[in-house]
Amino acid sequence: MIDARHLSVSNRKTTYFIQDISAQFSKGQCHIIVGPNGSGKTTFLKALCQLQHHVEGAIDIDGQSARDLNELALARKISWTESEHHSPFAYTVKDIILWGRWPHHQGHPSQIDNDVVRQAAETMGLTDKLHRAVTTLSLGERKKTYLAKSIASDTPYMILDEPCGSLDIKASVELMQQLRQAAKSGKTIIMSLHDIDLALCFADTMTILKNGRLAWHGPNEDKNCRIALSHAFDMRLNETWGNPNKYQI
Amino acid sequence: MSRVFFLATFILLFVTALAALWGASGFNPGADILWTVRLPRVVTALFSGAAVAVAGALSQSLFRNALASPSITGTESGAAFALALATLMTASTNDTTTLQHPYIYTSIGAAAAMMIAITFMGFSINGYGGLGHLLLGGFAMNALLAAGTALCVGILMERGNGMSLYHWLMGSFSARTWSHAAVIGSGSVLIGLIAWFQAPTLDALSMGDDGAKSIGIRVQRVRVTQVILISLLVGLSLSVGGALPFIGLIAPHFARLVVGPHLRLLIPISALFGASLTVFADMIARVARAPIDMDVGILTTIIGAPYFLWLLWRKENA
Repeated sequence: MIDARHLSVSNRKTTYFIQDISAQFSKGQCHIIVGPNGSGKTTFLKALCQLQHHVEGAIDIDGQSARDLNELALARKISWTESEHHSPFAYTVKDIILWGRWPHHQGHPSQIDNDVVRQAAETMGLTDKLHRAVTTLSLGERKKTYLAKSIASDTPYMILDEPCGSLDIKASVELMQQLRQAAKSGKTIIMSLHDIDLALCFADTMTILKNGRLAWHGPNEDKNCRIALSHAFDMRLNETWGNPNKYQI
Repeated sequence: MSRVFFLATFILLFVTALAALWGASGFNPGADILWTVRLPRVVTALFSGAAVAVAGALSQSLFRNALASPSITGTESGAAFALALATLMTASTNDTTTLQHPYIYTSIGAAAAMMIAITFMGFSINGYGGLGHLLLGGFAMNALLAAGTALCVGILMERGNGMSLYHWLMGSFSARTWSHAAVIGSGSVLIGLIAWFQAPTLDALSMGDDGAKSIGIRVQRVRVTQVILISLLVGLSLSVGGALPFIGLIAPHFARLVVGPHLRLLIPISALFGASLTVFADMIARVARAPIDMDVGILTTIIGAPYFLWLLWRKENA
């Protein structure tokens, strides 16, 4: 379980990007963070991954303070997938997925690492692109490459920022189904999503942020979740939102 | 891959042999002049070029930009300024050629310039600052350090002994001895090896700071190591042969076109290309206006600057 208590991130002066957020993310579930633009979703996720500076509050991972874990120990617990990827050099898809295995091989990949990479590529439908340079791929394919890297890292916790961004609708739904499957097999997924509809369809718990503060945190089925959502986005949600039968592949 | 190595090594050996045999008075393979004058000069040029080329390859991965190089980011200017200052401070002689352990000054100068570049040039904690930032920041750094260097050269000229510093800064391998070759040779091989062992980590750093940190890489430590290695390479090469502008850009860039981005291959191939280019440029510098020695830095700039412009143009039109 990841337990965040009174988490705040500031620029050390007066501006708080997120303020006093407490939330628990239990094992084997799919946790989705939503909120309007600029509500602090990415900041919150990066703070969970220990990638933010000037963080107040505490984060416990499996009962251990995250601050006490070194880089490598943390990398073996949590994999982090950014929302945007920029590669200045023409590394191949395989190189990038193999970097996901870094906590296990630290620069000296074994046959097992290579096998895991091939499996992860297959999961994301990248098998025939393994030796392509990422700089020649489309935005969506690049996204899939980094998602495959996250899958290959095989960590108990996966934290993803906007995993469905620049994916087409079918790829998005497939990804969400795969992530749910991973959650069923014991992984803990924490991600931010812009698409509330998708979030309502696939989340176990919802975390709603607004203006850097926690607006609501609880199970998806809870009636108050939808009320909180409509408040946060200033929109009325009817019952057609979040109908799991909506997306049929 | 082995074919690339073979070819690059062959080019280097060919250029080296040609440079060793070809003198101001045509081809004259006299054993005496070969051993005491030309070979130490060629070997010094060879390792200087290799050092700057490797420093370029490392800079590009550190700044996450294929156009970064010690001459663009101001690292070479920093080393040059430190050398000029040191020459000015040695009040007795004011002669760069008799300066004791010049590589200490140049390395410190290079390191200081790199620290400033890293702090200010859009190389923020979270990664990618963009090409504009890099080039504009580099422009300001180079201008500032060049002004400082020009001030030192000016003062020395007034004292009537600025020419040794001037020619040194323009890059010259004229009258180098085996002791120069030994310093740059041992230094660059050692540092190159250290860099080579760090290559996979540097490859992974291309994901950016957050990406690299999240897979368990100690980004800060890697970065400090890189700054030290690059500064030593640039400092050493500048202390034996003066500035070699654009070698640090062209060699790794060309090497990347041939062998791809992986630094395990890129570092040695860059070194081979950089060495060949520098030995070749030095040979031209020696024979083009014989018996006068031209400054080799002028030649590498004449080759390098148009190549750089072409790269920019191609990037814009990609």
